[in-house]
Amino acid sequence: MLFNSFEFAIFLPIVFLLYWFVTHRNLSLQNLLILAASYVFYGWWDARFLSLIVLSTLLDYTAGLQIRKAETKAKQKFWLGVSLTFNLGMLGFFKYWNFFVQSWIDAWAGLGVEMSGYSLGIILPVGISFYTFQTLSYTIDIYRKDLEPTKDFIAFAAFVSFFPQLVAGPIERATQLLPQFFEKRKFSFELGVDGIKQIVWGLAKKVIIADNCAVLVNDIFSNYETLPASALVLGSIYFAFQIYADFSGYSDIAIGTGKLFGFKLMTNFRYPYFSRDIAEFWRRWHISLSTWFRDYLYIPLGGSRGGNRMRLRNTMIIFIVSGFWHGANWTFIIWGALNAIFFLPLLLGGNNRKNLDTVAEGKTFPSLNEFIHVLLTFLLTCFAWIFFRAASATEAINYIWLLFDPSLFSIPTGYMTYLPYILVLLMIEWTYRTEDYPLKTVNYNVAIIVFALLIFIFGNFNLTEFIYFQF
Amino acid sequence: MLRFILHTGVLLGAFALIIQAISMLFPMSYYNQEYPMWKYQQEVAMGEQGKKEARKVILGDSRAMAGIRPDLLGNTLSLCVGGATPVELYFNFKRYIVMNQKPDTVIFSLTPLHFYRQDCFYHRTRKYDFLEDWMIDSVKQVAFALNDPEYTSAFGLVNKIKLLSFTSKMVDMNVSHLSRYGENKAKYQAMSERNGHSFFGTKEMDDGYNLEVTDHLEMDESGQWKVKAGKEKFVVSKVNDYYFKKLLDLLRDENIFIVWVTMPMNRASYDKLKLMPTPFLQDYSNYVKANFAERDRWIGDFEVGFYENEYFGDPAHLNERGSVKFTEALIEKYFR
Repeated sequence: MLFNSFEFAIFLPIVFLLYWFVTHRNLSLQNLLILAASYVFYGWWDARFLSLIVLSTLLDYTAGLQIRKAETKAKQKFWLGVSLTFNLGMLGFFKYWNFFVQSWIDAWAGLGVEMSGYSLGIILPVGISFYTFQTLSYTIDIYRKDLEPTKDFIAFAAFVSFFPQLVAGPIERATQLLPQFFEKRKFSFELGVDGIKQIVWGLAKKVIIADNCAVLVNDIFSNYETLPASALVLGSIYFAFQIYADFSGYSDIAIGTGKLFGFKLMTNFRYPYFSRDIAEFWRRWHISLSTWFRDYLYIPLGGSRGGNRMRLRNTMIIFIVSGFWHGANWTFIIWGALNAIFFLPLLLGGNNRKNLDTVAEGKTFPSLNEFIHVLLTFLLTCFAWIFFRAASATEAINYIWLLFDPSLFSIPTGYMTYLPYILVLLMIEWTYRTEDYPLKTVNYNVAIIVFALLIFIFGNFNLTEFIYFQF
Repeated sequence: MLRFILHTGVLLGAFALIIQAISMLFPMSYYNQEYPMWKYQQEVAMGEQGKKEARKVILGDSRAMAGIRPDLLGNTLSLCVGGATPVELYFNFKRYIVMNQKPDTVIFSLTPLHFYRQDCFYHRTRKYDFLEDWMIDSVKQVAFALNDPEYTSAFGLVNKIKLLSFTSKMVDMNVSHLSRYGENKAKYQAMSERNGHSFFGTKEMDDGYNLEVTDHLEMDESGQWKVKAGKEKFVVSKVNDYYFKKLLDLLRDENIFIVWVTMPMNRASYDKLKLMPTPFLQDYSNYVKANFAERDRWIGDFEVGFYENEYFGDPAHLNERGSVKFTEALIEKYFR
């Protein structure tokens, strides 16, 4: 079920009313309702793949209890290994099988050896990368003794499948989200208003910015060989805003929906395009994933201990793995590697934690220096996005090659339609860049009426799926 | 909790009211280009626009609208409506002769498509408020009396509720809505300047298949064309049949001469329809001919022919060259 669908507009109020008016006296019943609603939400897409969630839930529930029960470190490791193997194995099979087989065949073909492959017609289950990471955090945290396992299966299953963030995050930590399933949830007018405003803001970004930009992005990337370089520049800028508005819009709707049910989900985006360097960008972009990699990969690998060589190695690893997490394609790996290359000079120079505050905080406009840094950082991300969006690495390189052309200085007529939309988004975000989301402090009546109208008037309702569903 | 629900409900209600008002007050600003064309023909029929004293009136669907040129015929008005069946044509012409000078001749053409089905009664006729309430009620009564599913489905409860609200118009009110006013107004103006004529496809040639083909035939996995299940014959909708006869009766009663015209198909579609197991085009011709058999004051040609693909601007509609060729042939045959 898509957040921007008619079905969800019916589904959400029904679950909301049942939750607060029918099951509100009993926490277990509320959790059961969340579980049932989450399975309906997911099953709406393809009920067959619910079995994977159920399997993952059963296994990690058991693994969690067994890790705690185990008397020896070896047994604990065994059960952690079972959880890791199953979850990563499932992810590997559904997401990466065909990629590895094809890469293997291509590698041999490069040496002149023809091989037949065993690629399968595998459908990628929506959200598998998100919920496997979420459940992994549960078993790893128990192993690390950061969390006590739960015996309440329903609560645990509801935690794994919590519908607002099931298919595209934020990827919640068990330590943060699971305890909320055992606390009595209270509804307040302010919380409800806050949730609805965040949903409306997320929806506005999705249907006004992302889905409109998508039309031009698809056109430009499909016809890049025949278009002027200036249109190609716009293509990468539009894609930067498409993916941002799409993904952060989803996160806002997820977080807002969570609030309606009394849950606090983690912030996933904090105005990333106002970053002054790549390190700051990564502290503001897909925060739940980058912190997941930091906590469960970078630090276990040794983190920043052990000198520059170790830091370089670990940084490269997490960026490349992060790229690979997005999809089984060399384009994502190159995208990750590029970001690592942009990041490394900051790391080596000790400047990676220079910009921890918000740009031009307390001021209306940035200084020239800040503006230049923000612009350069944005251009670097746009450059990397070309690899992210292109169908293949060759296509991305051709696209970049065509940018170096005198037509770069032409006016890309016909492709400027949505620039005003982006400018308005930037102005709104700049004004409210210290808030969780721009509408947070805006009057409820104004937020709903004005933004609902804007969505209605300028939105594209062709029900485009969220980009991150494919990851 | 109740405060939150009430407050949010009131806001959503206010939002719905605003959208409802926009949808009712500014249809020209968000509908696609069909709207100004339908609107124009409605206003012509009501005597608010167009030639009030045209001696010849063209009645038909979009193929007749594109292919028969009022400017070449002289003193002619096209009252064709894109996607129209005999239902829309009957009621629109009925009010036309009340509000305008009665023509001597009607050039009448309707393709097989608009006899065997309707696909615009909900999406255009009802959404655009093309017909008056009593007309819609009449169609409803006839549809249920004759038990014609082509039409009864258009009166379902869901459709009724949707029509009451802006939601029926939401599909039309997306990315470019509220910015279509200029192009729609220009279309309306062009309709006025060309006495109700408009092209649909503007290509130099089209070898695609028209809806008669795609409604009845499909390609199987081996690339062979086959007839769709249950689509072996030319079957006229009962409501369309009813209003076709009523329209012919009206023309007879008003003593208006009829020139029945059969629009050509493009060669690609014509050839493909030969694959039908029963003589589809012949059945259509026979059906129309049978309706004229007992009547007088008409001439016409009932055989479906074809023009080469280069005369078509899309799979179904004649382009500029095609319309000139066809209209000149029409003049040569009936109006010299």
